[in-house]
Amino acid sequence: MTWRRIRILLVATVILWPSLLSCSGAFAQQSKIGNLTGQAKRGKELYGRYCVGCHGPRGDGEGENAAYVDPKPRDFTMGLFKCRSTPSGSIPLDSDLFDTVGRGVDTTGMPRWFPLTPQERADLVAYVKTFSGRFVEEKPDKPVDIASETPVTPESIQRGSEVYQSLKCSECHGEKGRGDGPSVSSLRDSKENPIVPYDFTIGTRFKCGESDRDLYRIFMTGLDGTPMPSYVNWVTPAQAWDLVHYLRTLQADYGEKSKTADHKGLIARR
Amino acid sequence: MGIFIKNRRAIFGLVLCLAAVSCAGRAAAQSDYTTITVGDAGTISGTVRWAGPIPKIPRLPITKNAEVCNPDGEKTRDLERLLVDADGGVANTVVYLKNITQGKAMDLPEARQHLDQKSCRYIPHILLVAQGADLQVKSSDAILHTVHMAGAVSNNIPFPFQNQYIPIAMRRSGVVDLKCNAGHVWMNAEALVVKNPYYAVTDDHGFFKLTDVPPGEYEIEAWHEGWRIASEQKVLDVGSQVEVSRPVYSAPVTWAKKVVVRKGQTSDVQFSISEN
Repeated sequence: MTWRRIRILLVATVILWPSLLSCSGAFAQQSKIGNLTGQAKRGKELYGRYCVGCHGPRGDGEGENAAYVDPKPRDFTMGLFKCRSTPSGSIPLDSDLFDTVGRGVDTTGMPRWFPLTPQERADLVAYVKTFSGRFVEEKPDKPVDIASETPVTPESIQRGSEVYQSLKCSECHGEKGRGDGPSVSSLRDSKENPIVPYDFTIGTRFKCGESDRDLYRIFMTGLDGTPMPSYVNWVTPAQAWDLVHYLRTLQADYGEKSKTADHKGLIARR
Repeated sequence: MGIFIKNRRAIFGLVLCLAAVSCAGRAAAQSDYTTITVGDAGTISGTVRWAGPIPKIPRLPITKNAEVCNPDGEKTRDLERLLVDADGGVANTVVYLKNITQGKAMDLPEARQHLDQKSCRYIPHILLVAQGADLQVKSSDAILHTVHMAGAVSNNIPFPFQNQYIPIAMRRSGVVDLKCNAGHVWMNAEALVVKNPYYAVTDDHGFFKLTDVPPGEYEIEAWHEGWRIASEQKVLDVGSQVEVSRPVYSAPVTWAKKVVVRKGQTSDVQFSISEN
């Protein structure tokens, strides 16, 4: 091969490389979480060992264990994810999926995949993204802002109680946050399976984390694929913190909260 | 060696071609409609009529917030999935040109881009929004509603307060199903997110009209959301002992025809739709 041909080949490669990548959806084969780059190829092997039993070989949530799991495993082909930092309707950030794998989803069959290394979890995220075309066609929206927490005071808790009433949270979560509101029997997930609202009295962990910031994020972004909507249009940051402070008082072990609240992140990203 | 180099060249060439075709296809898909100044345009009008016996669509009991949802004292609510007038005209059918690539600028009816939740009913029942535009949504009811969208656009926004518009960005084209998760299981609507303005929703008498159509031959299609209930899942609320069924609707149905549009003339298209 002459130098001329090599030059032409190099120039053509440089010019076409971005097109080749974007047109083939090659970016969707990777995940980026901080300094970690996950590869779908490696993630596929891990998925076949750890995830396929529930989420199925096609990622549609129809694994052999799915019949025995309630709520049903996530169908990755829909591209809808509960735990996101992004607004309702947006695909999640890679780091959101990474955090979910490490944290698990409390009150569901999804365990904390803490025994896997961060690199392995990043690889799994890259592979999970290949099940939905949304990760090729769309970009995630900017994450919802989380304002600095306001002081926890009796007044803040009282105001939070009023926010809970005015936003009509009790329609699903009930007057006392027990998940027994009047709409419960009409609730279905995105695959038309019956789904129950969260019962705040059962523990300190929520589906998408356990810190105050996690709780703030949950009702601001909503949990896509479930009936839980996004309240970001309806509350100010101060009201959102008031609501967090009130929701904490519904928990059976309220008071122990301060010992555990800031442990989030250490678990997911360790 | 000579053969090797030849093959390598061929492979390189093939890769270039594939990349070009793939990217060109994608680019075409992203910009498959061009706005032009439409002179010498024609009009298409017609009706969509029901043929044969009209199927009986079940009504759902109003099981929640009767004071707001049931102002007329009816105990049940029509699902609005199939509306046929005395002359057989079918309302809420979307008629559109399937293969149009250029024409007028977006001018979808304003009323189809605003959604109200009133007496636990979506008004209007069929929405038409340009891809990339916002659907403006409000609630006239002093109770909680949620607008849970699934399909081409997914979104889940609550409406705890009255009369405040919230814009919802409709980014992807296609069909979007709407439902309420606040216990009003009968509430349903469909939004079509579209790439060109040649869409019309039939009125109460099944009438439609597409204006400013560049002359030419087109495929015209009538789209109906589907009127059957495909399945129902009943859940008993142990506390209140109220059993609630949530309907899952059958898939949309379409009927296609050819139409020729001539300068300054109105082309008549009649659709006859039926159970089979």
